[in-house]
Amino acid sequence: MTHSVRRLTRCAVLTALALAISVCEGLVPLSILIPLPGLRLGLANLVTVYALCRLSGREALGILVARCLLGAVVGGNLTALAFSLTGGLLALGTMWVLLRVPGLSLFGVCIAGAAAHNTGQILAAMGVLASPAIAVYLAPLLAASVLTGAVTGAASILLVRRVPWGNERGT
Amino acid sequence: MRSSAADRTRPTLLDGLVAAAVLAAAAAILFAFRPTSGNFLTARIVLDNELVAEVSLSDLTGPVTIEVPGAKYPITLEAEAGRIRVLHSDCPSQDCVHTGWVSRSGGQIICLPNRLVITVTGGTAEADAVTG
Amino acid sequence: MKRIFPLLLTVALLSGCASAPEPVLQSFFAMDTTMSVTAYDRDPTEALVAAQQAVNRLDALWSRTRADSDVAKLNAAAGSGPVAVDPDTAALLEKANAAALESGMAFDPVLAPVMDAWGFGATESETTAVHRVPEQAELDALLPLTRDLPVVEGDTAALSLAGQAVDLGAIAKGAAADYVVAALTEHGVDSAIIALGGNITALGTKPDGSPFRVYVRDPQGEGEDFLCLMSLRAGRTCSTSGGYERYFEADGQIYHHIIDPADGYPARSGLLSVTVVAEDPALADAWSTALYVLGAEEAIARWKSGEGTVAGMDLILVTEEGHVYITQGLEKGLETLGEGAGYTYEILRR
Repeated sequence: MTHSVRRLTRCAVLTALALAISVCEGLVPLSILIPLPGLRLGLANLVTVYALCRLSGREALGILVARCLLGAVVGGNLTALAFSLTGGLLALGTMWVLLRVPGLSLFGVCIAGAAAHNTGQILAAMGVLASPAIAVYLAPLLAASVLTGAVTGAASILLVRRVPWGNERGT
Repeated sequence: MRSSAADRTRPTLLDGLVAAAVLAAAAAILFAFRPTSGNFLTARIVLDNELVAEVSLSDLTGPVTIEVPGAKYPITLEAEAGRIRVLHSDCPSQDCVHTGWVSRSGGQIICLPNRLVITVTGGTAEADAVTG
Repeated sequence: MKRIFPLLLTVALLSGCASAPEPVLQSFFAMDTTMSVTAYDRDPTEALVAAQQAVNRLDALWSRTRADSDVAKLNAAAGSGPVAVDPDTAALLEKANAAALESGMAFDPVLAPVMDAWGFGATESETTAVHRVPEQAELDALLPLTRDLPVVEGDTAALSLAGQAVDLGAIAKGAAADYVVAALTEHGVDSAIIALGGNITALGTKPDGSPFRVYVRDPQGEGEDFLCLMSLRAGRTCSTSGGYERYFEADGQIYHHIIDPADGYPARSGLLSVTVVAEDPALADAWSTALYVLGAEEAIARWKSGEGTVAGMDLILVTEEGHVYITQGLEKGLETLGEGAGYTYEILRR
């Protein structure tokens, strides 16, 4: 009982945090600096990485879906939901797999996650707009994801190390 | 079950490989979509100054026949992968039928009686126009 | 630094798009033929519309079949005094007259009565034309009407004999190219390939700076059989005349549409086709017909003499024996394609 309450609270806090981060990120869009549609630092991904490392895949998934749904409700944009959900799920899946590969650090995991997120977004855009030509945008987005992934990777290393909170199975 | 990745603080060689793979994918996409004025061979069918159809010849896998709607003299086109021709026309001159297959970018089939012009564009164009 | 790299990358990507705009093609019918203009510009729509309007205006001036055109009015008033014409019509008539005189009437803008007798008149595209071989007596009666050029004075023109008729079909399409170029340039397009019924005009070069490339059709082949592929330098027009373009068969003989004004019969000069490349599109159009009538020997002599209009042009002459003469100015960027079909090629130098 206490476990499930703790888990629920933890997930709720992380969801709120992720939502706040993505809203904040939306306030200072990176695409103003670099005119590339769909480009963002992807700080909300930090929460997914953290959840994958310190909690479980299932919880990370729950947080992600809740964040995307709430984000769509707050932002009132259903198309954006398709983009963020496809991107987010693809990133989650990729990072879940890569976290099991020995010899990788969070840098690599986050870079792959950012790349997967961008790929998912573009795939969704191609589907929504029914135009395969959008794939052209994926090339610069992928190149950019190496850098944004490295930034979030560095941040996630700090986060996972400094905030061991919730590592219940370890203690 | 605990990931070793979460405990590292420095990038590893494999991280570099991941980054390299992502960059390689970006390069591959750039290459696939390099601006070659379109890799796709398209036939534009213009009847009486109005575009009535655009057929992507590159995407065709088998032959298709196209009836041009609204033509004064009934005219049937045949298109297949990479080329197009006038299969049959009721026009008096039959020039359009005699033109045969057109597969090169810049090539045209003209049916003057019908005021119909089919232009093949895109692909790797060797020439921009035809004289004669 | 981390932000600057993708920035640079994006700029490189965007500028890559800017330097190679996609060509936009506009096809339309005018002057009894098909015309297409392919413009390389960010958004050439307005320019293309302006180009089409320019051609439509000229068609309304120079068409023989439109009752209210300058040419129709001039023909209707043949033998009864001058009519007022548009300055553009007057200028074209003068240009046509000059080409007619210099070619010794091999190019004849008043050949219409004879052309009509053969059924090669201006109504061809309406498919109502009936081709027939005229009686010699009929031709003898018509030929005297094809000798006196229209008299142009200021913005008036006159035909001296009743029954005479001007047909600018062999020069109007070329002349229209100048107006299309002007319309495109005015709207900021500086790279386009203009095809007005087989007359190809290069406005500038391709966006990458290389010259436009043009196929020359094999006069004996069909569809995609080509004689050669050549570069068309900026500002030049190529025009091709050949008997194969329009012809009919009667009593087992083929009669083509390029009539020799000397005897009123289809020209038998030993040429299959003539391609002329020139700076002036109207002259390219008119002289491809004139040289087809004059024959290879005369064409080569005029070119080699270094004097006169022909000397300033480049030529591709295809003889009935399958020999292709190409003047030296076209050698660069030339790709011959007809060897398999039995053609032999020779570069003419002077």
